[in-house]
Amino acid sequence: METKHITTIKIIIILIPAIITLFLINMNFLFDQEFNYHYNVGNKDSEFLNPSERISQIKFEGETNYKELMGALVYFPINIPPNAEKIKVEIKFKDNFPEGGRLFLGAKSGEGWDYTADKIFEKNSQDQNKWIVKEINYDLKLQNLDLDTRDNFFVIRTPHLGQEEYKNYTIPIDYINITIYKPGLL
Amino acid sequence: MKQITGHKAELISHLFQTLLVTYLILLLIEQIYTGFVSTYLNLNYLLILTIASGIADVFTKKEKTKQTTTKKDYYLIYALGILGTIIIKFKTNELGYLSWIISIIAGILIILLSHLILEEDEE
Repeated sequence: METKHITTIKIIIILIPAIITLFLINMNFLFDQEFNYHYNVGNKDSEFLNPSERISQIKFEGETNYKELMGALVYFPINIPPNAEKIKVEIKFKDNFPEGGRLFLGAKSGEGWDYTADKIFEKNSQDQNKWIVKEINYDLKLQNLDLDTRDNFFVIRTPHLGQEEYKNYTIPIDYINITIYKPGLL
Repeated sequence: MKQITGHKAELISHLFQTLLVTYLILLLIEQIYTGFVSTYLNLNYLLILTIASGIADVFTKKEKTKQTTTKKDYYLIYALGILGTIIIKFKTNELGYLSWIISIIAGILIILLSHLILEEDEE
């Protein structure tokens, strides 16, 4: 190989980190980004919700596959990019609540087990076994959330599942959609 | 096994060094500023490329050149030791006073081991 070719190849090799650096700067700072994560809870391989002992095996209803919450507190993680501004969480669950039963979503707000408690559903009708889709928005600039924690960042809280009289109750969950918006400079 | 020589060896060595330094810098950035890299780039792919080029580099024939240790090398060692101390302190900050002990010991270890390697090379 001629020396000229060697130099050209060496320059190409040096371009690898340069391109990666430019790519990361662009993605992190320059452009608006929207990240969409769809978690099909009933998927065979999904271990999205934890701890596993508070989650049922996969169940099927027609074409819908889902898992059931069996404990009052069930957690799931999130991958928040730096400079993210808003998070939207959408949950599809089945109305299998007793009268007055509530479902909260909490986001990590401090050290230890500090979470917000945002009510997204309260049972106040006779309808039973209907699939319901609810969403909640978090503004990371206004709400003081603990963004350093990614594991167990969110908690689904169904207080009645922790009570002895409702120990045979479960809440089916079909999917959880998370949308994260990150603004850019341009 | 037949060794790779000449320009090919030179290029493989250059590729490995570039990938290794790139990977380590990105890993460091990710550790300090979580999500900066991993949100957009899976570092494991870069690690696989680095390991593959590293394995190829093992089979290259290198010309032995006599290198002497200069003051600059020692300054670099001290700078890296201090940098290591700062990074470990940053990552173990939650441990309180233990964090200081761990990071200072780690910094001293970095400097002492680098000293040993430099002196070994001189011999």
